Amino acid sequence: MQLFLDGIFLGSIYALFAIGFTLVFGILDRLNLAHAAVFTAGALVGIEIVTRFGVPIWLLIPIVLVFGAVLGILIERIAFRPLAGRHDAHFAGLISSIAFGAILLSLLQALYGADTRRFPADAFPSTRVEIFGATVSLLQVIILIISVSLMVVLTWLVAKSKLGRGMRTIAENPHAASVLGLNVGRISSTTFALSSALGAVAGVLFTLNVNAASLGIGNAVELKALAVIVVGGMGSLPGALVGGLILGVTEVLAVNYIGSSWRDMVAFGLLFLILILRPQGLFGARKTREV
Amino acid sequence: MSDPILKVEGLQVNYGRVEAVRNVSFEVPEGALVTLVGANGAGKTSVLNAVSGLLRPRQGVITFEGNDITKWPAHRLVKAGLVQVPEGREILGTLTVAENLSLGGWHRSNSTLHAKVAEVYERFPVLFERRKLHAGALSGGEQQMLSIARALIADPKVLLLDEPSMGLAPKIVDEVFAVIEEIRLTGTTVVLVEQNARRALAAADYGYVLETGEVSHSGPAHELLADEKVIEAYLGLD
Amino acid sequence: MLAEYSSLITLIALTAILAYSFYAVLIAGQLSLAQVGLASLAAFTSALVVPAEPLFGFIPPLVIGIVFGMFVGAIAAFILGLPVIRLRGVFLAIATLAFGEMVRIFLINQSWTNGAQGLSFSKLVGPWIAWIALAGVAYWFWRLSGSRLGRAFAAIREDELAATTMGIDVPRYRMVSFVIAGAVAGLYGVLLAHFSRFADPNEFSFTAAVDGLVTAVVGGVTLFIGPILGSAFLSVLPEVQRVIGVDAGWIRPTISGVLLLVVILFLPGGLSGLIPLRKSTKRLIVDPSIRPSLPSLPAAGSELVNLSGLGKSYGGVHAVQSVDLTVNAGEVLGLIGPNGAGKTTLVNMVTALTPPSTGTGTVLGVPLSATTKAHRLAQAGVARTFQQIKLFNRLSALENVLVGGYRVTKDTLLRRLFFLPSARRAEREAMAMASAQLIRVGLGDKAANAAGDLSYGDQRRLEIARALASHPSLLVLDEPAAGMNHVEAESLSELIRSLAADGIAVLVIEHNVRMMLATCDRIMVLNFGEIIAFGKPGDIARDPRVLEAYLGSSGSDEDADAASALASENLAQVSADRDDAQRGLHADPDPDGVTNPEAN
Repeated sequence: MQLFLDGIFLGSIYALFAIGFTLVFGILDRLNLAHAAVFTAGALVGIEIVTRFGVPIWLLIPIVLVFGAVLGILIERIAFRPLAGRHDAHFAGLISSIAFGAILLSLLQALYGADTRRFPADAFPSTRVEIFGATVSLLQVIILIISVSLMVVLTWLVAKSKLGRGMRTIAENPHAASVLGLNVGRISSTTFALSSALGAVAGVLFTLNVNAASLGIGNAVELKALAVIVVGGMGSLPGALVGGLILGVTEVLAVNYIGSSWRDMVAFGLLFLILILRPQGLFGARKTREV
Repeated sequence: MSDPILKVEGLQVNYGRVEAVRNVSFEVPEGALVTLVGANGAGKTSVLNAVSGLLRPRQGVITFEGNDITKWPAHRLVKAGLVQVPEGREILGTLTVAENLSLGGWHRSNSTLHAKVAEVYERFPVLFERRKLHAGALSGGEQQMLSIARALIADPKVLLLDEPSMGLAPKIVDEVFAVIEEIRLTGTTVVLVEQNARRALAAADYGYVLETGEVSHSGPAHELLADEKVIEAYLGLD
Repeated sequence: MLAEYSSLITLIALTAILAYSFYAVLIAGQLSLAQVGLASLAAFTSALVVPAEPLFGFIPPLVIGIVFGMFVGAIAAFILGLPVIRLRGVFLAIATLAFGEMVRIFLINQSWTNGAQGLSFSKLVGPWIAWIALAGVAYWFWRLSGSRLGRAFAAIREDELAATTMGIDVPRYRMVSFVIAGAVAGLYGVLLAHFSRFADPNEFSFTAAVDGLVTAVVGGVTLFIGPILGSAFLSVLPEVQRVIGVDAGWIRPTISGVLLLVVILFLPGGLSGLIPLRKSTKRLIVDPSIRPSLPSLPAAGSELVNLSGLGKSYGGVHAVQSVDLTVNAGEVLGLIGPNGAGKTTLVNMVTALTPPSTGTGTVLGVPLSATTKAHRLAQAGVARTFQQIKLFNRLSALENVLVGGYRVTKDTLLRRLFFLPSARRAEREAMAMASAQLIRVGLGDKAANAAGDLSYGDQRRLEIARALASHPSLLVLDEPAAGMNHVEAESLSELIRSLAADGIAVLVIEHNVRMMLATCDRIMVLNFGEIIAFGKPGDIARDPRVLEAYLGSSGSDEDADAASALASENLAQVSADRDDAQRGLHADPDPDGVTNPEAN
């Protein structure tokens, strides 16, 4: 049970990060590889804010959400919008987002150096709680609550709000969306903003979980998140959630029973398994649009 | 004669280095039905897309209600009352008929939307019957009606129709043209692009014939219909 | 001074080799990022195999390492390719990246690699060896780019479907590019390890894979020299920055990132896109004696296509119902009908691009079933054009037609490597054939233009030239006259008739009914997926059901009369043309011979 819960906590963070990826991919058919740098930025900037201003968690999260959203808008404007209409837009988008991510990471390096940073020791409560016979920290519970609520809000937004309808229209048929008079540019920006906001918060939560953040954390998680979205189904929000949780739990179990050095293999093993057995992922539909 | 509600002058549209539209000019008087006819690849859809703000023209000036709209993006034009019913209908198959219709009212307030939807259901009872069905399940003709109805929700001043008869059985084409005529009678200006030149010219007030990106013939529709050269080139057995 | 830079010079060469391994898959349009993992496998397994002393006293250890490493790289690529080859775009990238990570983790956990502490290797590689190896790789790719294989890769990159209809077995070629990339990656791995004298699995990471991709992209994939340019640029950049003095740890990657962004946004072809291409590198060859003799076409009148009960349904919708179709050599069979009648679906089935739901029969002797592959039919002698033009837009007109000749040319890569005269002869023959087709459709003066830049009418004609280049027995044209005016349509009609006179069977879909009446020997009329009329043009023109299908039965009487008049007018015109051409068709001279459409 302890392992299971640990896995859920870890998995919810993976899910939160992956959902940002899959949102942009599902709506706009683009893979944003700067997402990893946003994750790292969220973590490092979050640490900075808490260290400088001693801000409590409930205030930190909204601040980081806004910060992430701004990054998302910048990514869309700089790395993706100039490519619209180019025949190699998918491919070029990968490269341009990689470039943007690299620039962002090096700026972070300039500001914070390459060393590992941590939240100040007394910044957050360290109480531990007992659930179903397992011990978890209050922090972990809070992380889970934040992750899940953000994902629920996002899902509601996409399913019920006017913005969400616009996003789903663009996802299904971008041309029809323009014809109908939807402001495709603005909706795209907003999609990126949402995605990066969640990605940045995922970075903060991840750092809270392990209390260590450095420049490389984004890359480490990014590849696993890619595996998660393929397993869950590219473009599927519930897929990212379920995929993330599955990954978290399986990883923790694997570390316990097989050994920590093989931990990262779990994600890729799952990835290949899904690609061979059910390429559209658990929740994915066979997209007619060729990527 | 009052100014035309829509005017296009010297339009040039390129795809890469290919000139799809070379030097097209035409005028649309308010309340009239103007048709652009011509073979596949003649540039008709490109003209319409440039007017609707979906394509940036290389050169040329497009004027709507006296304003220069050449550089306006599509969403601004829809808000201003210039709405297109696209080629191939482009309805959203996974949404219901009702949801598709409400998308047409993207720029309208909720109350206006409800009023327009009610209007549209009255005019198209078959859509009311099928309002909860997924749009993908409708027949070709019903989808065309949905596409037109959706555009009407936006309360257009000028309605642009791109090949509404495409892929439809002749009887359904009749129904579509009947609807277009009704729309016209309510005072909406209509610009119709069609491959089926005979039907289009029979319904229209004025016609422009496009040939490889340029206007080759123009004039009152009934004159074009009787013009030997036009018949020979385009009317054939189509 | 040179010694100072010897390391840099070697690294430029090695990085270029890595970039070539990416180039190898990118030219075929695949975004595979497995190369770094493959390099890692090659490097570490070679450590097990490379001897300390020359083998048999004279074979250098490094040579053994290289051969072994390339072999390992190729085999591993093949094995990896089996499950992932059918993935495309982003999925392929993710799967191959994951593979790279799996290799890394696997190797880290092996004792024979010494884990994260790494393995030491003897220093066997210096700048000379590195550049000689690079020269070899570059040479290979240089010779590839003018060969049939190289053109096939480019075709697959531009438009896979069109490439299939030219007889190119796309999955097989994608695997070939995969394996080539693997071999080059293996070479890189072995050379790198024996240069740095040390390697640990963590070096061959996700970041390294991304760096390799970036190098290939910055260099550009349009010219074979791209990877060298990319590597030189990206390796020299940090040095330049160091010399200038902007050395703070974060400035270098920032500048690199910005430059990469600038290149991808504004220089889509990479650095090699900056090199102006010599426009008229390929001159047309018009000497008919250079053209090879091609196998003769089937005898006129022989049955080439015999299909019965052909049908296609999507869910409950019948796009095509129970069509019987025969096509004979030397005839022009027209397929007409209103929009949405199912003509393109029918033709897609005949060319095996759409699997039929029902029906049996053969096309050029190949039995047609749901599993028939399009490239098989193409290799049997079926060629086609498409309703939406599917040219290889970034290739020149001549190159498009050269790809079209895939079926009747032989591969010359191996011979090109040695500059064998037979290769040159084969290439010239291919050029001669391609030139002939271009000239035949009237595009001789536009041979060097990029296909995407041609006018609409020229593009249609180019598609036909490309289809003809395969020396087909059956040519399928899908709306070839779309967008053409009167004059152009007439010359197209003449072209089609001359093709038939040469013995080719031509199946044409068209809207321009007047043109069809003048061009075809037999016409089939489709409506709602069913044949509603079939016969000679004269009969079709008079068939009331055909008129009805096009006009709409509930039109006014006036419309119907007008239609009849027009029909008879057309018919009179057509029969006059036909009599002139002595076709022998019996046209009804009575202008009122057209019956009134029966009321429904």
